[in-house]
Formats: sequence, C-alpha cells, structure tokens
Amino acid sequence: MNFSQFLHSVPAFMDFSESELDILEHTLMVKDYPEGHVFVKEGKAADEMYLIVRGEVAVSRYHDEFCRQGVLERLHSGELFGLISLIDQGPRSATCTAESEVTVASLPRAAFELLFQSDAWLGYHFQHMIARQLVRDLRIYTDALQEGIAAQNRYRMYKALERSTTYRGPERRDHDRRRAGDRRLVPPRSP
Amino acid sequence: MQITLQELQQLFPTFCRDADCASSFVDILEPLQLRAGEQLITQGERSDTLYLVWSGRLIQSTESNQIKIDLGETLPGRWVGELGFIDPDDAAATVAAAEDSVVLALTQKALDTLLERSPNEVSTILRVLSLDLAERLRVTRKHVLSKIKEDEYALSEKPEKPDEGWFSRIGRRIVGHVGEES
Repeated sequence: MNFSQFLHSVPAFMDFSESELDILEHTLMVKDYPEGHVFVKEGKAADEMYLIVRGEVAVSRYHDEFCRQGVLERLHSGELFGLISLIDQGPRSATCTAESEVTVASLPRAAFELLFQSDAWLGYHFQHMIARQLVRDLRIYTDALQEGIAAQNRYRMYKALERSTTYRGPERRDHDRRRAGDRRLVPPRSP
Repeated sequence: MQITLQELQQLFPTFCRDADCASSFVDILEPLQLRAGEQLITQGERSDTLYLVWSGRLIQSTESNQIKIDLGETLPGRWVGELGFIDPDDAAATVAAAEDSVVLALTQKALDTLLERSPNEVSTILRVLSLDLAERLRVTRKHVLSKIKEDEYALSEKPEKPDEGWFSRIGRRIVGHVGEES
C-alpha cells in the first residue's frame, strides 16, 4: 500500500476530499524512528501532530496523583496523536514513545498554519477534529464530577478519573467510538 | 433587537477579528430574550446550540442523585453550550437566566449555512472555542491534581464527605470560571 492509499484508509480522514488528501500527502513528513523514541514528553510544549503509518506508540502519563507511571493506551497504524499541539502551545499531558521501530508522518504547527490559510476546508476538518478531542477530554471530568456529587464523596470522583485516565483497553476505546458515533458538527462535506 | 457590528466586535473580539468576519457572524446569530429564571439549557436534554451572552447573567448548575451543585455565573462576553455545539450530546448542566438576559444563539443549521459560505469563519469559531477548552482542561487538571495531593489519595482512602462548595469549586473550573478562589 503506498502512502496515498494509506491516507485514504485512515478513519480520522474519512471526511476529507481527494484534493485535501493530496495536499496532506505532500505536506506530511514521513520518517522512520527507532524503538524508544520519544515524540512528545509530558509537561513539555510540543508543536507537531503525528500519524502512525507503521508500528506502535505508547501514550503514558506519570500519575503523580496516583503515584505510578501508567500506559494510557497503545496507538497503532492509522491513529493520530499530538493533535492539540497544532493550536495550543501549552505543556502536553502525556508522553508518547515508540514501542517498536515505527514509521510516523508528522505535521508541524507552522505547516498546519499554512494549510489552514491555503485550504479552508482542510483547515476546517482539522480544527473540527481538535475541537472534538478537547470536548471528549473535558467530558471525562464532567462525568467524574457527577459520580462524586452523587456519592457526596470526593474519592469516588478520584476513582472515576483514575478509571478514565488509566489504561484504555480495546473495550474502552470501542465505548468511546460508540459514544462518538457519527455525530458531526455539520454533515461531512468538501468542495 | 438590533445588534451592531461594532458592539459585536467589542463584546466578542476573538470571534470577530475584522469587520467582514463580524458581518458574517452577525448574520447567522439569533437573539433570544430570556426572563429571569427561564431555563436555556436543561441537564440531560440534547444540546447542540452555542449561546453567546449579550446582556444579563446566566447561572449554571449540575445535579446528580438529587444533589444540586452551583457552577457559577456566565456574564456578557462569554458563552454556554459549547460542548454540545461541538459534539452534540445530552447537556451535563442546566443553564438559566439569573436576571432578564439576551443571548445570541448559533444553531447547527446556521453553522451549516456559514460553512457553505466560508469554512474559514467556521474554523475561526472552532479555534476560539478550542483554545478556551484547552485552557479549561489545563486549569481543571492542575486543580484536581492539587486536591488529590492534599487528600493524600495514594496513601489512604478515607471516604469523607467534602466541605460544602468542594464539588462546586471543581465544577466551576470545568465550565471555565477560571481564577475562582479555591
């Protein structure tokens, strides 16, 4: 499968048009990285988005609050990470490390800004992906708050957060995907 | 009710970076007048509209197991309904007018119209909301982490009832009332 065919198969890009995928193909920088390579470090600023082409990347967080290092999830071919770096310059909330030799396509923020200015629909699709990811992250806290309030017990809230922010196995990710369903801000469209 | 471009730009400068943008924006906003006490968003009901607060004051609250928690006020220049607007779902909080208020509603249908005309404008709206959400997430995480450390969660689990206002203070950060006294 060549890179163009690969991009067509990425679920996050299913709303993108042919021309948008063509632009992406020529903008993303594809490179091989060794096992152990750290793409994003927790607590540090980052300014690139990554798409895994081949291999596996572990997303982990040092749970200072729960006193342990934990892998939140393992990402595979076709999955993105670092998306929010494209618009937010703050410190990152997790570390992303290659668990094997990987091939990863990256999009630096500067390149994203150029895309944003040069292709309105492509910019919109990316912006929509970022916004939805942030909403989902914030809903983890609203859901946990509800649990704590219901029990009038702050430890219930902590427990709910721990469940949501520790390892998300296939069952949890399937749940997230089912919850997301096919809700869109507007019906998918491109020129 | 008449909204001038100048007033819109003044109250919501991040959404209206220039006169053209403000002009596109004002065309798709629908003013709604609320009487004091009237509910705008109801917890548990589907929410997919963004409401910009033009005048007055809105109060947010959330309820779980019949226990109601105050989440603070939203004043002119801010907005509510953004989570459902971006990713439609059941509302996690109730929003009501604390006094006679006017909000500017941005519906999905209106956004669809704007998207056809100018995807850039929609991207701008999403970016403004996203930057706000990213900051709220950061503030919430930091605040919750500090509470967990204070409670020495990892060392013991004492199921104590927190003091009054404890959940409210966390909830206020989640909804974006940053800078509240903890």
